[in-house]
Amino acid sequence: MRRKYRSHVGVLLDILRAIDEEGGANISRIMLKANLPYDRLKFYLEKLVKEGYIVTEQDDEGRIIYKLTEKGVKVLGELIFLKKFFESMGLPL
Amino acid sequence: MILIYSLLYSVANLIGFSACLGIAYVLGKAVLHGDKQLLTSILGFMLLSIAFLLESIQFFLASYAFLSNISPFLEPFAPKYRPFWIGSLISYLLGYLLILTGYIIAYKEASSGLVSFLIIPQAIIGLLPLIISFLLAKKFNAPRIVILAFLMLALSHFVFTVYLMNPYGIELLVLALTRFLAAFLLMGIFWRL
Repeated sequence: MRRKYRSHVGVLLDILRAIDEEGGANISRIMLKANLPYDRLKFYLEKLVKEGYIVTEQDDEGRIIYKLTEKGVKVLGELIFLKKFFESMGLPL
Repeated sequence: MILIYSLLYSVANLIGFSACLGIAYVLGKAVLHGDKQLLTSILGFMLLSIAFLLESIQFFLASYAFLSNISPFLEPFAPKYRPFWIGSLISYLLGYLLILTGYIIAYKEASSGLVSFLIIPQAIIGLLPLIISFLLAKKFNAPRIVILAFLMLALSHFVFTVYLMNPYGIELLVLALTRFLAAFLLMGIFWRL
């Protein structure tokens, strides 16, 4: 069976979209929605925090929640456009 | 009329140039987000845009020369334009090869190394029987069965390329049918004796 390919941009899009849809999400929720293993997701989340696309906050129960920054919302729009562009080019994202 | 056709060709190439540059620019945005493997495709589209631009300039200059009564309209193929032609041919060749490689790289995650390696040679090999059939038809007045046989062989190589990119689809059936038809037509040469 053909393995589903996801590019770097595709992974970023899935993570940012998961956070955006929930209006802020914890790591388990993002793992589930973006379909990523913990280690790989942790790597991407650290990278996204470092680049200023997401920030961490604590909820009432003390859990870490990831939220999109203004820069993150902007880049999410760009990645959605890239996804459409890739699809129209026949490239997997 | 020939002047209008030439200008149309020039404009068409300019549009192609803009489109390829646009595609390279958008792909560049994805590279900035970390998809480094797209660099091959970007380079391919940039080379293709150069090829389009060269042909556009070539035919625009030829139209100008014709309009200004500098020379009759055989200008695009005059020796002084040889560097343009060579430049555009090399850009086309490298551009298409890099774009093809880019697509293969994008899909190779789902294929084995050998499968990825076979795709480009199969596509290039397919061009050879195509050229043979063209020569047979134009220069040698060969029987139709031989021309068709080589055409089918070319087609089967191209289908093989598509089959390698999607080994689980109906492509294998199409490949089998085209190769069967090609072999059948080649055998037909003996039956004519």
